[in-house]
Amino acid sequence: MRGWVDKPTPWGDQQVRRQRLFGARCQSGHLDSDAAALKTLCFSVIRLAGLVVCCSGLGIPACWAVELRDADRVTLHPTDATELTLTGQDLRTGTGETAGLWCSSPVKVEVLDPENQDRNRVRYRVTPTQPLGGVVVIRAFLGNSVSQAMLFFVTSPTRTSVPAESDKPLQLPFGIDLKSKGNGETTLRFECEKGQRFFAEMVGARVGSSIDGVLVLMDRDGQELTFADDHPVTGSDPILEWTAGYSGVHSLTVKDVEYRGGLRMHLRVADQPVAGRAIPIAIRRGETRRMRATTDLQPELLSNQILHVPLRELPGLGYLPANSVLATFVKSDLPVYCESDSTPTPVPALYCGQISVPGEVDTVDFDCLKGEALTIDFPTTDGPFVGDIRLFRGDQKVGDHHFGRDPNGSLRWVVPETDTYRIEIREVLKRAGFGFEYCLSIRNDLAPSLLRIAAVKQGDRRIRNDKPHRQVWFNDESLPVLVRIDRRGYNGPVTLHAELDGQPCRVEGQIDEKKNEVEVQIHLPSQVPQRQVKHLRIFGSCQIDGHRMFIPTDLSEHIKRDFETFSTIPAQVGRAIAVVVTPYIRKTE
Amino acid sequence: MRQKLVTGPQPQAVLPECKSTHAHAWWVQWVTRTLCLGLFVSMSPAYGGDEEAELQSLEVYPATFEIRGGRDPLQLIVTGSLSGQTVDVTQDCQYRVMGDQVTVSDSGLVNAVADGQATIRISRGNQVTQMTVTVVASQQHQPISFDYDVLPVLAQTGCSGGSCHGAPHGKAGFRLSLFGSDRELDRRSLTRELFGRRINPIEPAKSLILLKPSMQIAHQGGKRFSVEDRPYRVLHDWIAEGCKDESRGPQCTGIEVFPNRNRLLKFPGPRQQFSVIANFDDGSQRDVTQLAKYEVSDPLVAEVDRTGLVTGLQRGEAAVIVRYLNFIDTPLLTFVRDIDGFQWTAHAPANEVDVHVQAKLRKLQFLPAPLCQDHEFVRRVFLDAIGILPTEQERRQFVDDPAKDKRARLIDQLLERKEFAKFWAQKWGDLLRVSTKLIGTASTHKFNRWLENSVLKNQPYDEFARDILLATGSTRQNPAGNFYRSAGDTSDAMETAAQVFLGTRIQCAKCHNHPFERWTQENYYGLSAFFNRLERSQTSRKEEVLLWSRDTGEVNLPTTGAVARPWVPVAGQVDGAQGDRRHAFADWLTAEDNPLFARVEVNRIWTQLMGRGVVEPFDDFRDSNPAANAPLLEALAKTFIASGYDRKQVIRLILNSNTYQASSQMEKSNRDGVKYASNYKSRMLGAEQLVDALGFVTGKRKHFFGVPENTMATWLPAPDLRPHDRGRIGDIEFLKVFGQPERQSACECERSDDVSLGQALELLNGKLVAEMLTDRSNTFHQALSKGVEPADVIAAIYNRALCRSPSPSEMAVHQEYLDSHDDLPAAMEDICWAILNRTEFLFQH
Repeated sequence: MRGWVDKPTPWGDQQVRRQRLFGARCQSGHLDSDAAALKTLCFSVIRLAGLVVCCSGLGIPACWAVELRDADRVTLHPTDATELTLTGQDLRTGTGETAGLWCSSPVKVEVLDPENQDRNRVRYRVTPTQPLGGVVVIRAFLGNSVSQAMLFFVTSPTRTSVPAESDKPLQLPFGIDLKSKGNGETTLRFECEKGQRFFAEMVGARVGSSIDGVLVLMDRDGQELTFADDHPVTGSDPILEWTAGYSGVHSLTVKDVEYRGGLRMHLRVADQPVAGRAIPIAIRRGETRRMRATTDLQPELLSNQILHVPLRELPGLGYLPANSVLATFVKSDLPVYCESDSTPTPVPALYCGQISVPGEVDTVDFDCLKGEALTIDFPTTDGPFVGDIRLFRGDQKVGDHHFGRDPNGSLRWVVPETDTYRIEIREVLKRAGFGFEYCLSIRNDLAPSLLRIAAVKQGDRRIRNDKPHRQVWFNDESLPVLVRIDRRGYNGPVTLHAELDGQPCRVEGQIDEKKNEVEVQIHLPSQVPQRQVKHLRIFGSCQIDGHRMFIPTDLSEHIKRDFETFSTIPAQVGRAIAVVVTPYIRKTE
Repeated sequence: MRQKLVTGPQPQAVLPECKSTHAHAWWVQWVTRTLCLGLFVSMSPAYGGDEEAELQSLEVYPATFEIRGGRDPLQLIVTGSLSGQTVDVTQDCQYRVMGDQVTVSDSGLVNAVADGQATIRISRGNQVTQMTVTVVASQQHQPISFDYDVLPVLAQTGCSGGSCHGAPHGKAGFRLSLFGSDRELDRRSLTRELFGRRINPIEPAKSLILLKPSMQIAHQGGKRFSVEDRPYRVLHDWIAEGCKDESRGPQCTGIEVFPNRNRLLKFPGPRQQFSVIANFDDGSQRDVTQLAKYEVSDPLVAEVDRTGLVTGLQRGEAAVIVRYLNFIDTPLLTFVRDIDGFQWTAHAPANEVDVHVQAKLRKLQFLPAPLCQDHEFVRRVFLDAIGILPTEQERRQFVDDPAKDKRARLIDQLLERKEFAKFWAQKWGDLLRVSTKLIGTASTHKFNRWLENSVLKNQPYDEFARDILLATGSTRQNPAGNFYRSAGDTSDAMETAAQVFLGTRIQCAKCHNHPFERWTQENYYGLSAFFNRLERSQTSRKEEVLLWSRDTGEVNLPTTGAVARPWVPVAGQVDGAQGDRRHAFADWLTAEDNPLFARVEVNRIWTQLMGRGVVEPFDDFRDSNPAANAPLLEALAKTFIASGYDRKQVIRLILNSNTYQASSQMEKSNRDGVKYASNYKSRMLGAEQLVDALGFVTGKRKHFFGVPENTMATWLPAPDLRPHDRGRIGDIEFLKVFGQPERQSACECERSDDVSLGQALELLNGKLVAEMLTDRSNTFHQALSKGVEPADVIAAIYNRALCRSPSPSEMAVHQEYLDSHDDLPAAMEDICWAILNRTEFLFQH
């Protein structure tokens, strides 16, 4: 920019600020010169527009906000400090401010290179203040934005470099953080004894990586012994099991099935896999329950712990903490019942069970009232279980539904008569055993309507529809949110609610009868002394036929979820909106 | 439905010479013989062989027959035996009728005159036979039948053919069902459409359906018959009789074609008259020889006229497709010619392949080519087995090996190499449509790996087929299930399975009965009934579809709405298939007595190694497309089944045969014998083979997008790993130009082997070849820079490209070229370019 010129316009005294670009000179005075200047300006604007288009084409953002793109590690140590180099965008501001890190588990974060001026790369030390387990989520945040989530697998010990071919072969067990090679593969050599059984397991998709892994085990002559691709429980994270036929060096080749490069993964070769299953696979928020974990290798009890899920944690998937396996479970608002509980089960309920014998049919009885609109589905899509339910009243089948693994599939059914009903649960392909645990949700609290966060103009401080991780909430202000309802037949008023990290917030405004949109003001539940990242959940409620029904917010359409394509990551990073809550700082001119 | 000739008239045995002791009878016989002999001498014999030779026996078909009404003539077939060979003498006999009930033409056509029984005495030389014909209701008016006269006539004249009014939308506003498969449609089209102006019952001869095909007025389809022809008369009479619809009469249940078995005919002048008799459900029969439609499978070998008379044109085999309404039979004729000076010489058979091939060649009097030389063999077997050229070391090691069994050992080594698995997995990828467009990139890699492993482990073929056809669960965890993603619906799955595993192109029968085959629309939907219960549920995971089967679900015929019962070829309807019916289909498919499963696969392997199928095209098994050597196919299939469906064993058997190892050089004695495997068939390298070969010779291997750097073109899991850009000339375009298939259909024909101008341009002046030649790091530039003698560099190029050293004359030409140029590297580029453009390099030979 060369400068600004204030100039009277030919159509009046209005002062217009014109930007001089690319050497365009504006002369005051005559209409002709005005026209010339206007023409020049037009050309300049066209050029600028071209530049913006070019920039956007090159991936240069039109506005700047903190983003996380990569890390040199995939793992965090459960008890010791881990040094991480995070790369992304604007991890440092022009004023030297470095992005802070929010972690889903209690950790202490230090910036290791405060003097470094690299805006896109910062080195941190993350030290647990309590032992970590499972998978933890990290976000970077600044005063004006918060980044998307990045997941880390908690394990030890971990290597971060691939040994050279001339190096001594690795010894079991070992774990290594890797990145896939584009158009290639990584080979690791390790030694094992004849008869030794081991598991090679990739942790990639479970920490949000889009890697679709393949493991190939080869003998010392380079002949392939076995390979592993998709696994029923872990999806695109392969697990390879092998018993060594000789003592000596084996080679393990790791690659992405599409030969894409730069994708994060952790490879672990040990005598046990880490993929596990929690039993029961659901727990109600605010409750304490005895939880167990199993693996394919050890279907018997592997761990037995009392677990409390506090209300501040949002509904979604969670991991059994302090565990040697990665076992997910569902954190739900519904009461949880198991196969061993007495029936009939009250409604609403989350019913947990397992198909342990091929062809087994599990049944659950429940009472319900005439006119209730029930929604029956399997809330988790994790694992290989493919449910098929048939609904009976006495001996008469009144409904059925095949779910596949469609996360959005559900059976909606209006109860014709007050009675006891029975659901038969089958696995479509008649499989059974490890991985075939399920939880069935029977709800009457879901109105047919859906809430959505409406799109707003760029630059508004309201929650943005395109960058959910860049929200800022000042302590002394309420947060404006434009909420829209997809009514689907319900025309009554809708009360709106919000929770910030599980704490209810005061919400001003409701959606009136037959109205479709309202801008509500959400107030902080309590003052936040320091800048923090918190997770906001918005939902509605209404009265239908004397029943109070809740209306969920669908974030998938307008607000992109962080990991919507991954079914094996903790849902608390995806089902809510991350916001930076900060004391108000007056802007400087 | 296949018609069997088990009922109806049987050939009459040869009559012994008259044993009458009466002098009169003896005199009559002498006169007759003399006359016959005179006639015999005066006319040209229709059968091959010695004109003076006497027939040893004479048979007539049918031996007895009842002609009902006076409209249809009866075609007699008279067959003689000459030196153990069967000859058709129908046109060359004397016919004498004992009675006034019938008349007989010289071509053996019997026309009814009056009711009663007559004996027809047939004589040829000193052989005499006779048959009895009974005429009933000859004076009674027999109305023209729409179903059994009009529709066959429309089919016979080509009016209801697929290229004419039988096309889905008809022609010039006039639509008929294909070969009369939908009588109601045809009747409506003829009598009702266009205000009925196609027919004129008041003046039948003014009907459009007579004026146009007889070209009395303009007809785009040309002249189909003339006013004197029988089709004209049939249509004319039908109109004159008021276009009656006699749909309640006796129904036709099948046809009997005579001769219905393979018949060998010798040149000169080989010909064979056919007879077609239709059976009706009231037990009556009718000669429909004049109404049936005839075609030959190989028009170069034989031709057939409208009356069913086949005339041989050259040595070879041809099936005659006889169609009357929906009934088809396909007798086979073999035409042989005595070659002057032919003397059978051949290597002793190495295995059963040679036994059957040599038997066929000997019968047709083709000489098998001598064995190829070692340098030819090593190049050929490397390209056929693993898709790439041998290295200098591999070539030298083989050629210098003095062991007698070195070819067999090399074959064994090649079949165990990983390149073998990758190369043959690519062939299966073509058939199973493994492409990113259809199943996504990740699934393409997974499915390809599954195919590779199957070949590498030498998975029995029946297991392989079952794994694919019975795939259930996640397509990511069970990559074979991607078959049902490429074939995304019931029809597609059934058609693909039929084409890949049964070698049957049944697609046509979806909308109408198959035009060339016996498949009906009911058969099509009967086969579909095995696949319609399969459900495909998209899951939330990328490229994952869940395959599962419902317990119930039927397929309905689109025409009638009736439920189609599960049906398989030959065995017919399959009852009791419960739940997932694919299991019943797979059980039938992989049963040892399945007539197609093993044959189709061995034929496919034969095609891939020999360049031409025993049945060609290899995925088009049908009666009207007979095998060039049926016993060979039978023997290969038996071996295949006995080995437990071991594909490597069949490959090994073929590669070890002298037939495979025969020279590709044509000689006068076997010029037309490639169809019968007299020579190894030269053919152009496949697109991927060519790219690899170019890269190998120049040492500049082509890198491909989306796969590791050392991936050969013959290992590529799919042709579309990189989105194809038609406007870009480069590596991908090169493959397309040379016929790499898009994998959009299960037909092998998608891999084009046509020669095109684009190919010539790519080789002469294309980017790929130019880059490989001019790259300073290629093999010959490197060698020159290291000071290697130019002659040695040229020899190395020859060895890599052609697996042989240059001859002195070739070397002299190259040396002269080098001497005349100052720029040695550029001159060497030119020489290498010339070698790469030689047919010897571009072809597998």
